[in-house]
Amino acid sequence: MSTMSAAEAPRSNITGFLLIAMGSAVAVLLLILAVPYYAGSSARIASLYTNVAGPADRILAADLKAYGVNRLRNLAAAKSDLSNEVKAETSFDSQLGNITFPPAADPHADQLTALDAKRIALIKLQLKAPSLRKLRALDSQVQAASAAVDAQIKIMRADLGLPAVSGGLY
Amino acid sequence: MSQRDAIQEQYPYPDGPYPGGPYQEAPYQEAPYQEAPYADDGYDEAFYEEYGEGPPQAKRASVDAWMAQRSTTLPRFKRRTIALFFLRLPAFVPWFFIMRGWLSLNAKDVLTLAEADVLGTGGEVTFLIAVTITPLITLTGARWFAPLRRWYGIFFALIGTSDATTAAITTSFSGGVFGRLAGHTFLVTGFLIILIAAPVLLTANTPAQRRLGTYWKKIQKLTYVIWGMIVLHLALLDGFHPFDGPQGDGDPVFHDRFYQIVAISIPLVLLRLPPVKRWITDKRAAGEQWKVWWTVAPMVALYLFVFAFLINEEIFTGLQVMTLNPPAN
Repeated sequence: MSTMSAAEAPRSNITGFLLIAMGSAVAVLLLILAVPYYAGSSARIASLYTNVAGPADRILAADLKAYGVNRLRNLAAAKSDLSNEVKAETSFDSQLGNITFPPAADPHADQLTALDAKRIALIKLQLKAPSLRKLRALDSQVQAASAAVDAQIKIMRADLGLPAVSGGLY
Repeated sequence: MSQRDAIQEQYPYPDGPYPGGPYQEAPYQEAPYQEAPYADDGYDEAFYEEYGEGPPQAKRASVDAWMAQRSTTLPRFKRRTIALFFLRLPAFVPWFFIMRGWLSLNAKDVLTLAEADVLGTGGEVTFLIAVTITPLITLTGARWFAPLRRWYGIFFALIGTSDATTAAITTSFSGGVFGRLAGHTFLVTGFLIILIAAPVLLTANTPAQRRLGTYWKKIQKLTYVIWGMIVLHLALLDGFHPFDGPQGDGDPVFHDRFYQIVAISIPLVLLRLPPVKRWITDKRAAGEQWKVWWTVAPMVALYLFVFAFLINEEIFTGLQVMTLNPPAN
């Protein structure tokens, strides 16, 4: 039941229309802004990937360099390097799992994680080695696993539009 | 004049094909909406009394009238009953998702890590559906789905209570049960929502409505306090950056719960304002419903767009719990 007078009615109707039109104008603006924002999501995903890969790369580069020296003369130090490598790779894989990749890159990310897990398993075997000789004996297997990881990283980075890297880095 | 004759005179449908079957074979044998309004339908009738006898009213009424008829495939039930049955089912989805976490007694810390996402988002979705019913009535003029307002309101309170109970037992906040319920400002607001929802839930029934009289509506209006508290809760939880959840897809803004609730609330609040409701009903009475739809279309689009992300999060986190594969954080 309307309690408005006849003179008030048109003014109220205009108010109602203006309120709803204002809301719709804001909605249109937000929807328009959503389009370029959504279009930039692949660049943001690439950025998320490099944010995860960067710290892992720094740790791995140092560990690989130290292991290259220690594998010849210091078992405890070599194992410590490998242990740090395992930690860095496990952390990388875990953080990679939190990124929702686009459909094209998603299976490649899963493959990368799986290959990384194989490499981690081999490094863990190395950690059980009682001598430097036995530790080095597994190096070739680890290198083969690393080569597979490197190949997958190249695919991943290409999916994300990132330049390729080499040398066991992400 | 019999009740049936009176109704037929009020809704003078042609003899031609009527959706769902010939009109004559499915007369209104039970009281129409005007004589037997939904018990839980607190919608302000004043906005509909200005209607004339023109075609818009007949069109509006025809949806309700069609839904009030018995189904042709399941003649034991009215179409409205069947439609409402299916429309009520999504309210169980949050519990369906969380069930494995409960039954497994928090295996793999699945409840610790994801229960708030599943039950919190589930509660938010049910609340938003409940408060969407009134604007939907305003927009369409149809009232057959009005009982969903009470249904989803009740489920909001129940899901919220189960969320608080599960959180009090399983989450990792320090300070025991009290710390898990009120150890942070956003937790305090969440807990207050449940406390305020309790009287609304307890009085969300027809006997309470009869006994409380005019006080009933005042208690039910606490819903607006709850609404404000939900916005505050999500502002404290997410603010301008998502707290957690599937934020790694490159679109964190779309997943920010505070932005989501604001974007959804704007149209719902606007459509509750008396001048807006009056404009819509005036246009419908004048046979210009299309103007209403064109004007609200962007808001409807934004609402649906944002709601899709809420549903996405519910399913995403729900499946994590169902498969006992919680997020890493």
